[in-house]
Amino acid sequence: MSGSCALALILAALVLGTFSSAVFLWEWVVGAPTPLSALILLIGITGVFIKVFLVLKRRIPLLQVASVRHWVFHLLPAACMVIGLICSGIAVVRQARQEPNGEWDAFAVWNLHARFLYRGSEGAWKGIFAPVTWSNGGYPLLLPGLVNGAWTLVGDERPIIPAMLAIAFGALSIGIVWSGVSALARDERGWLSALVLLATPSFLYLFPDQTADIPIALYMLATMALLQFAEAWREVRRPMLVLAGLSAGFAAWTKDEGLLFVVAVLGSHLVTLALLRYWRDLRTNLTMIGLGLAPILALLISFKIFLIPGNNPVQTIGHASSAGRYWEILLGFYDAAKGFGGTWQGGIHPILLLGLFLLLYARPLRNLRPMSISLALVVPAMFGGYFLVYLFSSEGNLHDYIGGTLNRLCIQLWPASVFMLATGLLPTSTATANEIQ
Amino acid sequence: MSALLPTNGEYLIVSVLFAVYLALRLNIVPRIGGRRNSEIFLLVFLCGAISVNIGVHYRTVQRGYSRDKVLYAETLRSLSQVLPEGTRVGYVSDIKRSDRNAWLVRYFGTKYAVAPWVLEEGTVPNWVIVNAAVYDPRLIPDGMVLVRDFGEGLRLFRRKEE
Repeated sequence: MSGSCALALILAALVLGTFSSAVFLWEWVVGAPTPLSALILLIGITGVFIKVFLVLKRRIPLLQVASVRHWVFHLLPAACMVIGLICSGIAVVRQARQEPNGEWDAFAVWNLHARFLYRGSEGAWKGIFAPVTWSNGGYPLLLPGLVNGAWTLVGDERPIIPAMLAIAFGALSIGIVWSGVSALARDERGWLSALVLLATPSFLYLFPDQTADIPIALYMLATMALLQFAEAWREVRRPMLVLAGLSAGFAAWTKDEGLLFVVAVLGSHLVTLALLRYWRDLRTNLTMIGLGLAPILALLISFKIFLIPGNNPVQTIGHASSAGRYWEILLGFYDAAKGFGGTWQGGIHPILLLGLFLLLYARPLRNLRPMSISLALVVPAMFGGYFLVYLFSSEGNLHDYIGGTLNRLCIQLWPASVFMLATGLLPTSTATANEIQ
Repeated sequence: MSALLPTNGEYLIVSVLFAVYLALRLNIVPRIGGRRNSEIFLLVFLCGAISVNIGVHYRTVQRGYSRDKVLYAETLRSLSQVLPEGTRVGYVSDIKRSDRNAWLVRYFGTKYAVAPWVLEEGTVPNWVIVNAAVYDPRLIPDGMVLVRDFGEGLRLFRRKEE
């Protein structure tokens, strides 16, 4: 049941990504889509994904709940989840009403680009890429494309639409963590993993902000979840890997750090399977992931080549020999770690909550699966990448630059990290009930 | 300078509860200790800690979680409706860039309103928006005429036809 639910939620996220990409491609190649053409696209894409869901659902193994713990373990997390969802839901909606236009970046970048796409028929949308003050024209267009698609569908530029989409992305993240962990672990830890997300105030503050941080977090999470499913459910391994590639592609089409994520996922997979000498799996996995990734990567590369001016992530190599720069970056990472979760001045740090969660479920690690090792490497690889970006950045005030960006980068990785720790490094559905206990 | 360790009371309570958990886990008091009871205690402890954070988020938003920005949405909408077909519109403001928040609110609010026009700082384009807290005619060069004053410091000018 939770396996099908997780798959349905992930496919819903992929429908949004595919619809956004299709609407953008339509606008670029054919011209501004009409409400009818947008509706046809949406119905077609949803139909294809429903078919995929029905085919995969039949092949997902049905596993019984394995937990034989005390009844408190069944009741308390579920009760907390209900209360948590109500309180957080009220707070998120209230914040969305306080900030109907979202946070700075929403109307300075993401919804601005959506307006260019929606209002700029006959090529005027390319004004996004005009080199004027803080245009950020090089940002990928999944979120603006989706908002544009939704506005086109309803035939009006309603501010509530980006707000609702933003909340939907957040809700999907929580739902995927709950159902995905429940499906693999077959016990109550799915509830607790989702609760750890709900107990991260800075994650929830980002929902109504209408920026791309929560959408990219969703696609990173979906990629990790699909890769875990591919390993746990051998019956659907290949289609799950293709979908994981597609999801990773959407992460790259949402924000530039998504490209780093693609490199981290492929690189960690390559290194792990090569070191373990699983050559056959390596070839199959990379081919399948590549199949899903290719169309979105092609769109992204075309976008970068034909529409936007060059944007080299290595802005300067002058700082690479400066020891002070390394120290400043490390201090920035330390500050970000402290401030992560928004609980320093009240509440409990989410990493501490995750520690308690692991204490409750961790068992001696036996027979770690290659996919788990590979996924465990993704997060450190991402942080390594961020470190290099800061090192090669030409920003004068590095302290402010890191302070303004790293917290959000950490939040982007948070749902995927919680999922990975709850499923990857603990005995899961491939283990017997006794092993889980 | 931020503190090295958090100073809020929650961490003291967490430390005490963690010590209780360890005492149960190590079975220091055999009557109430042991693995099963310690796990139940840890679960209740974790759910309690989670509830504290959910409460922190709820109370913060209740107090008003907004970030000092007003978009003058209606006024800006009227401005976007008056602009004719075109590509670039100039932008002038009396607010210094050093007053970062005030400058950003007005600049990005205007930019968002007039899209797909590209907002260009200065008075080179034929149409120019003045978004000023206190209007000073010297902001606009000779040869431009006022098209409309929208209020809230927002004015639209266009170059006189020669």
